[in-house]
Amino acid sequence: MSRLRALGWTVLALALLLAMRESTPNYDALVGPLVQRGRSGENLAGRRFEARVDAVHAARLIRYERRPDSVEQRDSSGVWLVVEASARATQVPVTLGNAQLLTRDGRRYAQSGRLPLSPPLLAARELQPGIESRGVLLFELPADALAGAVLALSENRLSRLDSELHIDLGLAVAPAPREFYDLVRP
Amino acid sequence: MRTRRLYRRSLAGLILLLPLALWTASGEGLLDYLRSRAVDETVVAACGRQDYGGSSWRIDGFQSWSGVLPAEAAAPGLNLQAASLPPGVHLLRVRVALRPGDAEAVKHLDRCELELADSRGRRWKPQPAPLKRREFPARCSGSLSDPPQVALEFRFEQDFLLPEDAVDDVAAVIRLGAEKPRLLRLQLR
Repeated sequence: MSRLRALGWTVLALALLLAMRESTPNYDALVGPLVQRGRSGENLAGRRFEARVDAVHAARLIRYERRPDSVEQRDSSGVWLVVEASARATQVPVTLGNAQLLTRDGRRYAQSGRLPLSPPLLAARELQPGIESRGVLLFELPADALAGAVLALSENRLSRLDSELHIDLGLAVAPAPREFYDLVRP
Repeated sequence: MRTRRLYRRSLAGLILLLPLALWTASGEGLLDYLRSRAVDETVVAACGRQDYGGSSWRIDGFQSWSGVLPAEAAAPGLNLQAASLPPGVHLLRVRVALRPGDAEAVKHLDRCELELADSRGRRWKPQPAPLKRREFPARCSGSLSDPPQVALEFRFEQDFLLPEDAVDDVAAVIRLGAEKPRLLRLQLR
């Protein structure tokens, strides 16, 4: 009887060890970003900044001010996705060093670098504690990748053990792109 | 009875050994962390003066605005929207006076930062504000035409955008590259 009991304990211990082994996160998961999830329209707070997505637009062209007296436009082989967002720092000034779009097929799209860092771009701002900054984040991606896109925001590209906000843009279906989005007079 | 005593001794040994093992493994890292968190600052009461980095420092004045900025303060060419502040946001202009004691102190001013900090540990950096250019330079190191000079009082001022709950609580923080990690906190009020 006692042998049977000992065998039972051994099997239980082995089962526990196996469960621990299978559930132990890998290195990337251990030191990866601490993801906070939310939806468009919600205020989402990370360790060093808060952010909210106010609106999302798809467009074929972007109009922007190259110089104070010169308005230009850029097209795209895909579509432009313009995310109007607000953000503020919590304790010390920070810059949104990393904004990416995560699509359903597992791809990540970084912000477009084809426009100069002008005041409407949120990435160009240094966020200050308690002061809301409004601006846009610009992405270029294939039109069929828009549905289900999630915006990922963090202070650095490698946000290890730091907050990364994942904001569902609420695009259940891909929105029909408008002809142009005007950064000069939104 | 003997087994129970052995268990108790083992338990007591564990209580002693566990902190020792943790200290051996991460004590140095903990000390580094505590050192990095320690703030070495000199706090100066409002209207006070303090030597720091070879110069003598004091708050020369400050002014705050909210809502629509006065027309005479708005920068030429800016429209009304650009010359007004969002609700709950204040513009604070802080003017600091310094007097370098020697030529070395003037050199130290090249790597100088002015920030505002409140009692909750929040910090703000200077912002370009929609105000007419000030009569004093915006940098501790002045400009080519107006640099700080030994034994002469030099004034500079910078603008900060602050939330309403911080306006009456902030102090000016001066950091000099040559003095890091020491910093100077000049109380405004």
